[in-house]
Amino acid sequence: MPSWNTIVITCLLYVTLLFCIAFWAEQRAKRGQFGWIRSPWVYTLSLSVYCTTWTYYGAVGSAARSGMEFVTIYLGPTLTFLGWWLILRKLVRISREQRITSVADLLSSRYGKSTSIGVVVTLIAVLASTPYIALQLQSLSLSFTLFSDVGTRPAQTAFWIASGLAAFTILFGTRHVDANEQHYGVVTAIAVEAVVKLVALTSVGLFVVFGIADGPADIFARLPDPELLSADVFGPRWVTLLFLSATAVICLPRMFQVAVVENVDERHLATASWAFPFYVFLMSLFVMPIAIMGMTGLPADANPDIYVLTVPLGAGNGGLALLAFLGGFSAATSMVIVAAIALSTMVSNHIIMPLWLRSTRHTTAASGDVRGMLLLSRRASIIGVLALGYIYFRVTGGSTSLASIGLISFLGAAQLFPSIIGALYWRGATRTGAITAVILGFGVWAYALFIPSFDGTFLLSPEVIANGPWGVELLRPQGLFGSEFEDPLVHATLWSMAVNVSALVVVSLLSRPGALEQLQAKLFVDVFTGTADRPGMALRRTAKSEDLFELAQRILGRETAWRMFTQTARAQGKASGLPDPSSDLTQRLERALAGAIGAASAHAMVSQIGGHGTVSVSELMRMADETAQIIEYSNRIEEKSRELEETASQLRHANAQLHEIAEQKDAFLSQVSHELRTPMTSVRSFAEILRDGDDLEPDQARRFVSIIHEESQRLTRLLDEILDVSVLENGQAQIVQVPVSLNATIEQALAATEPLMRRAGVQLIHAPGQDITVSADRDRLAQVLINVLSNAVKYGQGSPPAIIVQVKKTEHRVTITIADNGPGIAPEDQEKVFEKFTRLGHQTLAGSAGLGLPISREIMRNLDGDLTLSPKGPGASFQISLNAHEDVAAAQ
Amino acid sequence: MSQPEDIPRARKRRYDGAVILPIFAAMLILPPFVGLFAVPVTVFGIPLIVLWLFGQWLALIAIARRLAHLLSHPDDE
Amino acid sequence: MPKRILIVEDEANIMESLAFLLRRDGFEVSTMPDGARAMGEAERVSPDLMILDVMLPNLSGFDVLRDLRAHDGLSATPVMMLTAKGQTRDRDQAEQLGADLFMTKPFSNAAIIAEARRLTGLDP
Repeated sequence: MPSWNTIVITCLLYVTLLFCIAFWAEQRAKRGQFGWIRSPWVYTLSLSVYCTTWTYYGAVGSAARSGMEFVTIYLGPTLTFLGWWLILRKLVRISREQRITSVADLLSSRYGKSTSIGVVVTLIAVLASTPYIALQLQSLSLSFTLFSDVGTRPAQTAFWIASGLAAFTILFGTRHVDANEQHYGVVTAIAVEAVVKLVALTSVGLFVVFGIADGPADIFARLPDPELLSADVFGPRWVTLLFLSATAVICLPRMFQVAVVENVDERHLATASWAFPFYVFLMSLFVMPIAIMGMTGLPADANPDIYVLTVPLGAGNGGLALLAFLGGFSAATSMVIVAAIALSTMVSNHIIMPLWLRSTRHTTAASGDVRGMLLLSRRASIIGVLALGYIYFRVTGGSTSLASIGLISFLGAAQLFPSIIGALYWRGATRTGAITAVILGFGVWAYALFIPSFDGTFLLSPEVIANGPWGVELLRPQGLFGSEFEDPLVHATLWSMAVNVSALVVVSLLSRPGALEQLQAKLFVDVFTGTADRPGMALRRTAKSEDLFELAQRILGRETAWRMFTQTARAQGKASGLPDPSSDLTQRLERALAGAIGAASAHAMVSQIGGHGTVSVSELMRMADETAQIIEYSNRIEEKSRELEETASQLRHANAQLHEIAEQKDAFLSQVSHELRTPMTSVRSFAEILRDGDDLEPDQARRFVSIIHEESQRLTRLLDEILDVSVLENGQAQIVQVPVSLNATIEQALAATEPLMRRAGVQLIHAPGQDITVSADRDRLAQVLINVLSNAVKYGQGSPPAIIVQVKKTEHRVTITIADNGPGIAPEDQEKVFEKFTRLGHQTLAGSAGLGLPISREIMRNLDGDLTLSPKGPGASFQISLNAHEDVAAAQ
Repeated sequence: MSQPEDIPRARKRRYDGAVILPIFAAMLILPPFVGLFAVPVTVFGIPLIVLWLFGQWLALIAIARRLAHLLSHPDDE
Repeated sequence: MPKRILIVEDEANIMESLAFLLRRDGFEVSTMPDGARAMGEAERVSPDLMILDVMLPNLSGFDVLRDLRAHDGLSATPVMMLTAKGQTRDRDQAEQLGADLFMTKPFSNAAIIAEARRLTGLDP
């Protein structure tokens, strides 16, 4: 048997390990390296806080007393998780969207952000959980005592355990008041404890089945009483236990905490839907064998509730007993820690904070104060909850009545179940209905089950329990209205549930929900219908500016709120002070709040201040402070969405550009088609005339053939030009820049256009000066000059027509001006001439497709020069500019 | 290989399955089905009722696992 | 008496081929390369058919057609429109303005003759 010191040292080492794990996980989460901390497996394992010492040790005890009955405690949750699609999924989604922090918050939020329901649920949760926490302390101290060879006092042990747990919980449960109330450190530590529990119990089981006995058949051959496996167990109690344990997974504060609040990803539910049932399956697999071994191998007076420890000890396997002890230790600590976190959140959010805010109603509390106060109240609540548990343990001091406290606790929590289901599925469920249902159900629970469980030592005397108050048989706590049930649990369950559900339905039908309540009901019930249009609420513009400002300040921060309000005031023409509460102000505020807390809440808050609702301003301020916690989170989201917005706008821009390019391409193709069809028309028509006409005169025939020839040349030129444009525009043209004599190039161009000019009778005015070397591609430059000259000949048409060619050189640039004395180009057409296929005034001259000037400009730009049209009149004056050669050399 | 218009129907079937599974499970573990094999018969030395309870439990877990997979991979066959 | 046709077309070579074809088929042909002066010419010759290009200098074929349909004496003149663009938008506009026929360039000589005969009432 392990010595007392071994036990203590092991426990300390184990706790240190848990500390390290929690710390490590917390650090990783802070750095954003979640990894497997956020895996569905950690989530599944954390759900094992369901398995407390009551199930870890108690299941074996129950199996020894009632056979297979213990299975219900595990089958119930199995049922709930198999049905995750129906209830849990919706709960998780709603809680994510509404930033729900506890089961009290869930009901309060759904039933119109009601304070009263939050208080009621919190009180009930604390009341129902305290005995349960006490039970954990009791089991722990009991198991400690088992190993103590020196006379340790259980009370003292329990005190130190409670203090240690409080320290751990405060350390990792209230490190920060995070908006989402997720505690990575605690959850990870609990997942580790889950593994320890499973390994410990399975090891004991395997040792029993294969170490002590000779396989499963041998174990069941030792079954002391075959009645243990009879069908008697499958009666009303079986059904009741299934119902209670199935609802407990949702309603118990600690289960709601791990299953819903700590859920970081809805998809984890899918994994947990089978993995958690599998976990509890494994947990229950060896319960019966251990119980049988305890009943047959240990003295008859041995406590079945600690068979898990005493069976290995009895077999002399101290190491295994130590492991089993650690498993029980894990079961107790994880339950207490999570329950303390869940309850403290509820107590602090629904009781302490509203009270504190009410007391400081008229002092303008800045947001920082609220945060500090929130942390303080959480910590105080944790200590309070554990202290309550400890006191309860001391007062009842190891009484046997604690044994059934697990189920009593389950039924207490189950009183929330109808209201939760109503919250999720029945839009007609109202706040009054829910409060009435919870209070009446809880009353029946207390009267028919909780108080009688003290066997007449608390509030109700044994006589009252036996005969009813004042001897009224009908009011007998365990036989209400003459109903006879063998089992008080079944009796209390039936009556409390009947009263609870009837109250919810009847009172809800008789009462009217408030506006905010209707809004929340719709948001809850229709959570999966996506962006269901939110019910619009008429907004009365009677909000006081001060109230609005306070609200804005709490959520947006002082500076932002101040800026917004001053701006609005200025817009209203007020030099100082707060703006009038105009609809413009409320709308602006609502939009600004919506960015931080979502549109629905913002609308609800502002319209509440607007005097439309029933909730007090201080209540709203409380809501504001709760939502203030999520601002940081919102900011992160906002940043993300800004990035996304940016990307989207870039995409939109790119799309618009592509669209434009496609349109340009279409227009270009359409124009090309037009330009090609015109010469083709002449070619085809004359070709057909020649083909069909035998009676043509030779001169006529010759003329038609020459037209065909001329038009096909025009086609070829056109195709060349189109290719040229495409090559130049794609930057694929091979244009070299070499020293070129400008005079020689001009001479070449003039020589090429000389016949054209002669035919048009153009007078050329050009005096070649000193030769300049330019940096260009000679052929391309000549092409540009020819294009511009031909253009001048075609469109100039002065009387008499004249063209002036001049060269000017500044320091770095050379400018060639080619001007005509024609009518000039209208200012609105000056850019158009460089567009493809533009022919001003619809003048068509054979050989022009309207591509000459665009090509020329493109060439000049490829030569680091330009082709522009001088606005000066009277005629058209084109200027070709390019680099002089020396400068290029100097630049290089 | 299913036609594209069959996919919503297949998904619908999975949703239905997710709703029916807990009902089916509840039926199995509630009386009278649960006590069906509470008879003093053993199989390989293990009482039939124990095998029945744990066996159906395991089967439900297996079905839940398959269903969870189907529900979280909606486009798989 | 031969039927009179007025061709309004700015491409000299196309005009020449059309004039040649129609004259050879016995029509009396007038030509006009400018849109702005097309109405004056139409008033002068009062043609039995007008062949009208869409892309004309100074005034587009559509504008000429609109003026023609609004003209007291000439509004009933059959009009054959010619275009090198052939987009449905142009076709719709031509139909809306009351063109009798819309032909896309390049055209078949035989088709031009046949349609000219039909529109002038020489052939059914």
